[in-house]
Amino acid sequence: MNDIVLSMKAVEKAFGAFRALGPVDLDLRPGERLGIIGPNGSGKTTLINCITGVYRPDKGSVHFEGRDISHIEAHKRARLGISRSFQIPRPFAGMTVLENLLVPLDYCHVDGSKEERARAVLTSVGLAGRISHPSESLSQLELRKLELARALVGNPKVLIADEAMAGLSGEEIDEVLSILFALNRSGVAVIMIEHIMHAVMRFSERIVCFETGRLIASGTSAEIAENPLVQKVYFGE
Amino acid sequence: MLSIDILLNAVVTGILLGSVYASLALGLGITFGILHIPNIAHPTLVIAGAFFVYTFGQWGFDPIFAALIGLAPFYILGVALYIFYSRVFERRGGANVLQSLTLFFGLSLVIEILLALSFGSELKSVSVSYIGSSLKLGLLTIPYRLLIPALLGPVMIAAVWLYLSRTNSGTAIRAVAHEERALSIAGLNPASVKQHAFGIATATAVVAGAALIMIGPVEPFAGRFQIGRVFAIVVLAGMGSIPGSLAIAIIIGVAEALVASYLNPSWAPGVAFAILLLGLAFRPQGLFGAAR
Amino acid sequence: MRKNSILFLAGIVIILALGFLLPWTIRNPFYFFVGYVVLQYVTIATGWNILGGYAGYINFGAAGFFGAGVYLAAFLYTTLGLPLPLCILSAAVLGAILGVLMGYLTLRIQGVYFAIATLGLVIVLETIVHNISALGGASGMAVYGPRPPGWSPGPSQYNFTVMLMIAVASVALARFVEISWIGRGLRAVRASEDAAECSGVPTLRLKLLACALSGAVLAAAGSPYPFYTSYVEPVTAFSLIIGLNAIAMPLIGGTKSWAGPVLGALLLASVQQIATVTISSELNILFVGLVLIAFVAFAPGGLADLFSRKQGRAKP
Repeated sequence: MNDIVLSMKAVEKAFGAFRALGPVDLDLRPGERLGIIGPNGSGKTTLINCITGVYRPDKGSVHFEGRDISHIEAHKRARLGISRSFQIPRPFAGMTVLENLLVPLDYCHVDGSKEERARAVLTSVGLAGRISHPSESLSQLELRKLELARALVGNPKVLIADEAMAGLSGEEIDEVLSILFALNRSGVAVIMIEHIMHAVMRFSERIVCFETGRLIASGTSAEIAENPLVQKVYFGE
Repeated sequence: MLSIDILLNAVVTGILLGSVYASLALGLGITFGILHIPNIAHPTLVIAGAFFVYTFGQWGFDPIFAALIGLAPFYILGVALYIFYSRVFERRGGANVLQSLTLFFGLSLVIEILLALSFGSELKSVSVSYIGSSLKLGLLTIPYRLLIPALLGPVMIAAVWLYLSRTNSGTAIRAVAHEERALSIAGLNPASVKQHAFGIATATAVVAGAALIMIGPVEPFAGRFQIGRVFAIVVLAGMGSIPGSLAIAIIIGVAEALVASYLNPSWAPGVAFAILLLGLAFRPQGLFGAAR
Repeated sequence: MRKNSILFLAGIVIILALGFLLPWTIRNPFYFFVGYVVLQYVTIATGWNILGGYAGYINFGAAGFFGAGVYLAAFLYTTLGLPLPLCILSAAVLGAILGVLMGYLTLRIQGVYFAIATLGLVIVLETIVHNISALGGASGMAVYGPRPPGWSPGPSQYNFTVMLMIAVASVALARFVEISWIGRGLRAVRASEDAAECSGVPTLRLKLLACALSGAVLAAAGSPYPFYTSYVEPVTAFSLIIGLNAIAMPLIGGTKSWAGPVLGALLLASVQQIATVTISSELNILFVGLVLIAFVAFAPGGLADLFSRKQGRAKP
């Protein structure tokens, strides 16, 4: 019924005199695969933080499923269905892999048993063998998978994957990508923030490029690759 | 009833007290404000400095001169503290703020008890010829025992501030918390920069201790009444802003002096904490610092 | 899980039964006089750990909460003649309010500010008590406690049994928090506040809840104290050793589970009670301070962690 799930209107955020973001307008369709690229410090992380509620934008508004969520707290946005994974995995240390997933499940409704749901998600990302291990004992790839599993266990409508593949090898990247593709096929819109170009190009239906807090280009992978502004950002003059 | 001389004397006393508070907070401004190490043992180190000055006073040394003698041993003490601290936590891959708080809490208690065991729990003071009388300027009466420590504060603060802002090693200290990698690239060892900074911070404690014991007698457990003040100063000044800390310290000093004159001196210890709590609640980024 | 709960419940019943029966079998009231202090510290360590251990927010001001409980109970009992259970309950409510207030003012920023603010709580409360003449000011006030009821042979035994009930209730509360969604959320907060918030955990509200529960237990721990000593004064009600023990006992025992603070308190408080006969209170503080430093530096997981590591090594 609604063809926009997430919408940012003229969002701005500054830290003291430093304008980190904006003004930015950006819409996301349900089930879309959106890639966000841009150099470090270009405002990508600030953008995510404005969407997830870590920051309140100074100006502008964020709408989710037609509702203005600009002023609601981060945990409420998470419960509405905006989920994220962190660039540096942040497992809940001191808990097992299963318990890590029970945390978000404490605050959302799922059909059937919560533990069953957690086990099913862990199996789908390939962590079935690690369910009762302490989360500190996981490898880098497994931590990335746990991060994604925790983000998607509560059936989000939008998943923001913040550099979910940084530091992984080629095969491992394929593995994470296939998890994200599978998730997307089930109808979840995915925002991928990524520095690994071939991955984000392969994954995204649409890519937007940020530079010094502004959205400078938008288009398909092919269009972005050809865009002179983007080339200038990445390769200089 | 608001007689002008009481008000004037309260304000001037407050300014002078504030100047002394600023020197108490200076070391914490370096360790907590710049290095982000929550050294809650700093006020206790100041008390240890006061007892150092007291000991030398017993042998006939002037308190200010005794403080200058104390700079080197307190610098070394600070370096040793930092080495212990970093050995403990860096093995574990970075310091957990809460564990370091606990460590310094334990350290401050141990220092207090050691002071109490070696000096007794009674109040100790120094006596010097020039701190007995008062300076009279019209309506104002300023005791020298407050004026001289209050002048000591800005001198030390200015010296440390010039060092931090004008010299290369001072710049390295200001940079070390944020730009550890850049420092390594520039050929500086971040660990030794931090050691040096901790040493300087601890060395300021002996000067602050001299100031404190000149104003009035000191007992081993007096540090805890300073904790609220020094943290209020460092936090509200905006972490690491040294000129800002002088301004905040004076605001706190004046507030305390006014409360003591118009309400009751026994309420004064709570003033700094009230200011700190209100500041944290309404302006956590500090009054002078930029938002982080 | 369920089996453990049944065992726990059985343990509680046995301990409470002993608490009522032992006073009739052990004749020397001195044991109950000493036992009271040990149980008081079990309660304090348990209360502290709800916030400090589970959520990782360090409270240096346990003595402030404890002292608030002491004074409120003393005041309500002597001036209004409230019965003892109501005094304890009121103290718990005051502790919860204080906890929420402290938390609300400082918890929205980093944990370090909360810790610093709690350092001040003791001084602020002590200043207030000093200035209230109805509470006896600096010189303190005498409290003539309730006559022991028929089921208890004497005042020492009665105070002991009351403190035992408070301690058992506190441990049961801590265990409930630990195994429920509250504990899971708090552990998530402790591990990563951002990740918890982004997983839907209402971190601020959960921390305030932990502050309230922790404050309530700490203040309840102080509420029978006026009847135990028959005299309250600021120096003992806000004593430094309470704040120190509150941190040291859970850290020594282990902060992850309810058993850690209980173990740490039983050990450390017993040692202190035996030692006070021979050493000064200053040496006592020095000893606890050094033990605290040693554990923070070399065994941050406490005894519980040391035991389980040893077991883990023995298994394979």
